[in-house]
Amino acid sequence: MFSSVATMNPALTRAGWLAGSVFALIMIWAIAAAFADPRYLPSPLVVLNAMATGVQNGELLYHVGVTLARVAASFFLAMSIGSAIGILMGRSYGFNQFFDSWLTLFLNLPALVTIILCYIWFGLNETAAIAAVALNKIPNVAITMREGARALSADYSQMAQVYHLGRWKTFRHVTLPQLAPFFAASTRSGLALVWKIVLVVELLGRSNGVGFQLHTYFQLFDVANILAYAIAFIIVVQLIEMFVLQPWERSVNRWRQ
Amino acid sequence: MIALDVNIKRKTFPATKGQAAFVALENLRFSVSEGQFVCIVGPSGAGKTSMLNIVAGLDKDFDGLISVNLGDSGRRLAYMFQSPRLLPWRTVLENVELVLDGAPGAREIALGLIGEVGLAKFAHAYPGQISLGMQRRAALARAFALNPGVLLMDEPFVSLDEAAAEGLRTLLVDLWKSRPTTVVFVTHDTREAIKLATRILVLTSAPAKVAHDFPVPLSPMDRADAQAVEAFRRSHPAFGGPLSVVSEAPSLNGRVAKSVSP
Repeated sequence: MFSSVATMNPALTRAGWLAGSVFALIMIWAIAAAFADPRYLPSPLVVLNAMATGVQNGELLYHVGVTLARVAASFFLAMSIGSAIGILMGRSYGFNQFFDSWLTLFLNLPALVTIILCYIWFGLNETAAIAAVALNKIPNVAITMREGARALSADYSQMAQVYHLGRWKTFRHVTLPQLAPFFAASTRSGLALVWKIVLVVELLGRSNGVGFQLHTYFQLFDVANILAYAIAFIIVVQLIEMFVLQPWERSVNRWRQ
Repeated sequence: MIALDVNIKRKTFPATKGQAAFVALENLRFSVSEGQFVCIVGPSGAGKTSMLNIVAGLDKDFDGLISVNLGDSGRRLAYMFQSPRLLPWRTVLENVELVLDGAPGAREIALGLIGEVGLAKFAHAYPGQISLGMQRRAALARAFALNPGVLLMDEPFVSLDEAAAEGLRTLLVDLWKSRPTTVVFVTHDTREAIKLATRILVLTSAPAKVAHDFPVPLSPMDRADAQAVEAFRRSHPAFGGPLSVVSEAPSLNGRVAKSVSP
């Protein structure tokens, strides 16, 4: 510990740095906007105004809500299916040998191809949209969880066997905690990936959601609203990160301190 | 009553990359009566851990027969490994409670044992926050929490300083006296074996079989006395002493163990 730093509250220090850097970014934007054509780069105040209007008439919240619901659905689908596949691949030699090439194929398939094929095969509907997003994320989850399953300790499973913990207690108290760091890693990278793909899915084939709105405002050439929607969604994702993911990770990792 | 009957005809480890197939155990036979404290001594790599894993039912890939008699119904087998194998994400108390399977009064049983092993103040500490010696105490509490009918121990006190190891030995003997059970304790340290055991089995190097089998008729006072332990060790043929002593003698529990040593 550095004594000069330790005297300050670390959380406050972090918040100070964050506020400073965000402020600097907004200032750079404001200065650039002052010199640019306002149609191409509106000032931060104009964007804030567009955001406020969107919140007031309920439109922004509705579309952000719809997108969030799609993110949640495809995220949970991808996490559960991807984890199951990954754990099986990490535990079974034959399963891994067989599915390894499938995994490589799906990992390298462009997101756009999956989305287009899903819309063609299943129609322009919600099922196709969510399936397309989940399919894009499943291989990443599977690869991370496979590493986790390979790293499972034989020592602990012997202990669980000798003390007759049974399948459920062994899974819940011995296996899952060992997988938690891998789960956390794929959750974080997953959330970031999933919401970006959801926007593409909405742009291509849905009539609501942030992606659909971005498409609309693109056609209207309304940069202020494009930025308003993008920033609103970034804020929402950051709030989820700060108030859901980080506290969960801290509670899972409290024994490491 | 016989608590444990071991008859391992053969245990082979198949060839792997760069290593030929290896016969770890061959014609390893012995039985242990209820309440005995048996120390199994053998050179490193003799297959002692392989034998314990077979007895514990962790390794079923062997030729032979193991019968374990746990006595009263509800008693179980416990195994204290060489490393403590506490789950690092559970506190000491949670680790002990886990094996009790939510039985009524599990928390009281766990806390009682944690107190007996001297960890009352650390019941809510995570394993990573306490020393190796304390982790071993916690593992000992977990093993005894089950009220085990048979307790297997695999060099549970290695890599501790002598004072800490001695403290754990005293603790183990106290627990064994207050909660009578059959103990099979594997070690490579002959002095440790003499201090603890009512009976000692000496194994050959791999493939391991029983080379010597004899009781340790020392009083608790002698066991605490390093010189008496050393004198017993030097006098015994199994450890290179003269061929005169002990062929048949009562064990600590008053039972008679037959010697098969020359």
